[in-house]
Amino acid sequence: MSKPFLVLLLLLLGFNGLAQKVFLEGVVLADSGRKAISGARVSLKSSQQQTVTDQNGYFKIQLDKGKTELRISHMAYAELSTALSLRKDHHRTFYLKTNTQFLNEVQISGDQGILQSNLNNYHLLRAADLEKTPAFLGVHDLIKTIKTLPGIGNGGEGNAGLFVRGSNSGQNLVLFNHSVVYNPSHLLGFFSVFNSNAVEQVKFYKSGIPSEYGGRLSAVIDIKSNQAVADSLRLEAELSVLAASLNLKIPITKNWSFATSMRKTFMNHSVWPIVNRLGNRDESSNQMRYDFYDLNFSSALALTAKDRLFATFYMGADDFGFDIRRFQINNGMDWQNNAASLNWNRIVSDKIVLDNTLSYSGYRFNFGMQQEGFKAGVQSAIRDFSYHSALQVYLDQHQLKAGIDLNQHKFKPNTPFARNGLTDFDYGIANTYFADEGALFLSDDYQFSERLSIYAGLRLTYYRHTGPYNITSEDASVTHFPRSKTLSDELFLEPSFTARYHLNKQTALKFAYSRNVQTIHLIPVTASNFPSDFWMPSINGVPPEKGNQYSLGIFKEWADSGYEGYIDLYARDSKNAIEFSGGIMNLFENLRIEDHIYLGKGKSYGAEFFLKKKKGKFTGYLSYTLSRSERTFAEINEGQVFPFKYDRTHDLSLVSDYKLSPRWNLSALFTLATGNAYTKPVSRYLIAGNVVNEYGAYNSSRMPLYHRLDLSAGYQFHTGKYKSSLSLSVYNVYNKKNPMFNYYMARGSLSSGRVSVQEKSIALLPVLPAINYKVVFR
Amino acid sequence: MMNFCRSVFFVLLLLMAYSCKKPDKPAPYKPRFVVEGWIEKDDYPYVIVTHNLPFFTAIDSAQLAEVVIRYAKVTVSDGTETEVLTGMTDKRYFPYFLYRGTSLKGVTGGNYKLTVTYAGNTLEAETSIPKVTPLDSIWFVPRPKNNVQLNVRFKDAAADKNYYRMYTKLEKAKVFTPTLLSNQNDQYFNGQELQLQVNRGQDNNLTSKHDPYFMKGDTVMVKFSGIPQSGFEFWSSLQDEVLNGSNPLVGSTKALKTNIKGPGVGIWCGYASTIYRVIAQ
Repeated sequence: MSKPFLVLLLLLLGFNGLAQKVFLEGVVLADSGRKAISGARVSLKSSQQQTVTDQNGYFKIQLDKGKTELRISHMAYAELSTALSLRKDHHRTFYLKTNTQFLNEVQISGDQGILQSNLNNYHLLRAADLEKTPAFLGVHDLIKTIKTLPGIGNGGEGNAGLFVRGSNSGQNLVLFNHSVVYNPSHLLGFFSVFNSNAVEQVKFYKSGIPSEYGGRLSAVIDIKSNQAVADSLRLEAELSVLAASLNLKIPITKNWSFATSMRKTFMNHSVWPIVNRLGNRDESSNQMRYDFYDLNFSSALALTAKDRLFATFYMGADDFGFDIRRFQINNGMDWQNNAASLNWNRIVSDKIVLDNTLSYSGYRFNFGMQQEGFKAGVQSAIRDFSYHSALQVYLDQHQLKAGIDLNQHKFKPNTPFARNGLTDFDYGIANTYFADEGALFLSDDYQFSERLSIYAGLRLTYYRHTGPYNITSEDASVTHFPRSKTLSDELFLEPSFTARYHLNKQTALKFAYSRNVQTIHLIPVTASNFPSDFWMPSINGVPPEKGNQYSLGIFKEWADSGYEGYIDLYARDSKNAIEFSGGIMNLFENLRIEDHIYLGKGKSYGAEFFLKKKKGKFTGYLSYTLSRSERTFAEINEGQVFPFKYDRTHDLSLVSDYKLSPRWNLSALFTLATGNAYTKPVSRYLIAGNVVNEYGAYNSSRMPLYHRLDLSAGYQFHTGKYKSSLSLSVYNVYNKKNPMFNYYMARGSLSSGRVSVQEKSIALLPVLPAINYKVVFR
Repeated sequence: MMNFCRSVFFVLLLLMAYSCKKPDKPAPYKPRFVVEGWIEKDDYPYVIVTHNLPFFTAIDSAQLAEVVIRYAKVTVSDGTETEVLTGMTDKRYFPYFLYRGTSLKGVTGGNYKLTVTYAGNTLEAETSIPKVTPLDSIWFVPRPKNNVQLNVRFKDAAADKNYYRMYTKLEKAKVFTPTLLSNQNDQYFNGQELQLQVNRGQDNNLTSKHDPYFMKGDTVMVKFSGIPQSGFEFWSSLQDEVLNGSNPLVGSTKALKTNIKGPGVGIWCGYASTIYRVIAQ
């Protein structure tokens, strides 16, 4: 580790290509369905050398000339061992048989070493990884699991957002089977919209974003369902105190299958009545109600041995209510995500794979507020159509990827309505924005030598805001722009670069850089990342956000003892970061959103530490992040630097899992993080008989330290033809009140000369035990 | 592995030491004057001058008595006449001391400049009195438990930019209280007839007592005022802070608007009011 890295690098540049070595490259496919198997480990019996297949099932490994025994393994398939005798570079396709025995029990993908997974710039999570963290009210969740990884800030209680390396939650690209999901959370972030039964694997990028992804500054969460053609009928049913779910896979023919996952909560009949009763004793009490559902459908069709079609459809919706009894104010929100995609994957030749996707994303949001006869609300809607095509070519030491991305957006953010008694308020013509984007990308993953590999990519994007569009000026006159008219446009380049260097077989260094541009923006309106935060595209006055991200890390694996870990340092900067001036009520008052937007700079840096134990009865990981995230806006805090709301000095997660017996399993999650930054009153004044707060420096105060412990225990029954499991979980074991929001309430009377100001906190969930029962039929 | 762990440990220690260095700067309290002034059509100007208080958790009567500024020079000018207002006790308005004129009266369309000087500080503000808009109709709608809800109707003038504010009180009460959603901007109903279901507001934000309705038989005074834009902006921001400051879903702007220039906050506002007396039934 102490060897001078640069000298070695220079030396290696001179020794590219070693004698007596040959390359074996190949594709690993499932024997049923001909689906490419990604994440299969390819190793040699004779040495420690190994590699992992990519998403097309492709791998490449360097071998000694002569006889070698090759082993290919994957948790869902039977291991394949084959003897090879190679004299020159060789290409071959391998088929793995489905391991039916293993399909019953989902296993953690511990076989994939950190050197492979993290050097790819992403964390790979599988359905099985989700089951290692304690379930919230009996439900395992993807986004909650991602939040335990280093560098990912938890926004605090009731916050759905993912804050990756000091960036905003709207700066993450969330793809579910190729379609963008604009609001990936069911409310309060306790559940993501991704039913874990419909998720096979997740690639989570937080640095060196590859060029095939575009449109966001911070991170990419690429979620895929199982695309294999199912070979047997499978039915799973799950019941917990708050939700029921059903998971079904039906083979229609040998090459065609259909799958569905459905989930529906009934918390308005279980959780909320209890929470409302426990929390509501005084006059400032609030009432809550909330439920959601998810529907996932997918169909996989193997047209030929080389062509596969995969169609998916997702629909999910939420309905939330929050009543402030003090003012008889009823708030309601409902929102719905829709996504559909059709993917055609063709293996053109041994070395060329073509992937085409047509996709649709839809999102709509309604917020309503009622105070007696006064009703007001806002509605937002988004509709996207996109086409993505990528050609992947495997040449000797190169993996080339080139493609095209076309997107068409329609945004209708925050259309207000208000009705007072019998009069409808006239808000004029609603803001509707049409924008389109076209991008070309090209990248090369170059295996420079056995020790050094380099990824370089470039993405060229043309973005424009087009008509039809109406601009309402202050005197209420409307200027109309027709359909073909371009109102603003921009052409930009986004480079991405990663260098990976192996110090030895178990240690590697990685440097990653990427420059990213974000053309659509999540405008933060509420105190806690509620879905009323809305999306809008870049227009005149709201330019694209631009940022650079750098990271340098050391990755280490102790294969024998079953540990792996890394330290990753990062720095980011961005310009045209957005803060919204005011609250949601300002959206009623002024139709020009751009007039309420502040633009500024962001900067964040930090160090991430990760240590994972993969072997033995006791497994788990510890992740810790030390970081800072700051912002500078001319209009906020008198132009002085202020901390980003989700700046986390410390962020720690400990996830552990203990296999007590083949039937019993215990798991625990402890999380601790610096509280959110917020703006606190520093003084007050009296006016019109009211005591009014004067607020101090922006985000200069902190919410208390956030910490929480969750525990769960699972038991597996084996009873004949079907399998079942029972799990007990406890959320917030020691009943810590983690406030999500602070406010100040003055009480007393001026005439009697006695006034006190109380700091009030809204904390959502007390200790919550849950029970969950799952049955699997085959 | 030991070496590696030791390196990790040192890096951690170093970073932790670094991260712990900064002490939190105490939030600064900036002393400021607070002005609440009004000039009604056909009435004299009234001005209350106080100062703000540091953020303590409790305010006692000594502090409350001390907020009032008694020896300021307060002048109001309509462009031709300038009057120095007289400080006097007034039991209706906290802190029970205000400055009042005895000569200059508000007229429709008049512009009024306020100047407050005190201990070397000068505060200035300007306002105007818009046109009077009458209420066309006032009636009550039955609600449970012998309660009734106030309803009003008026017609907005299409040619003018109008802002409105509404108050109610029981006849015997000393002062008017703004209604729950008391401010209206005609941007959204220009030239239309507007019918409002009116809920009574709280007396102030120090109480949680809130009764939106009147009782059958109450004698109700309804005050309906035209106000200028600066007044609308101030009162809307105050309403936003009071109603939404505690609502995490909505959030408030966290800064009240003001039209006071100089080291002060608050409002100097002209009103074109009509007061109606009705029996709730």
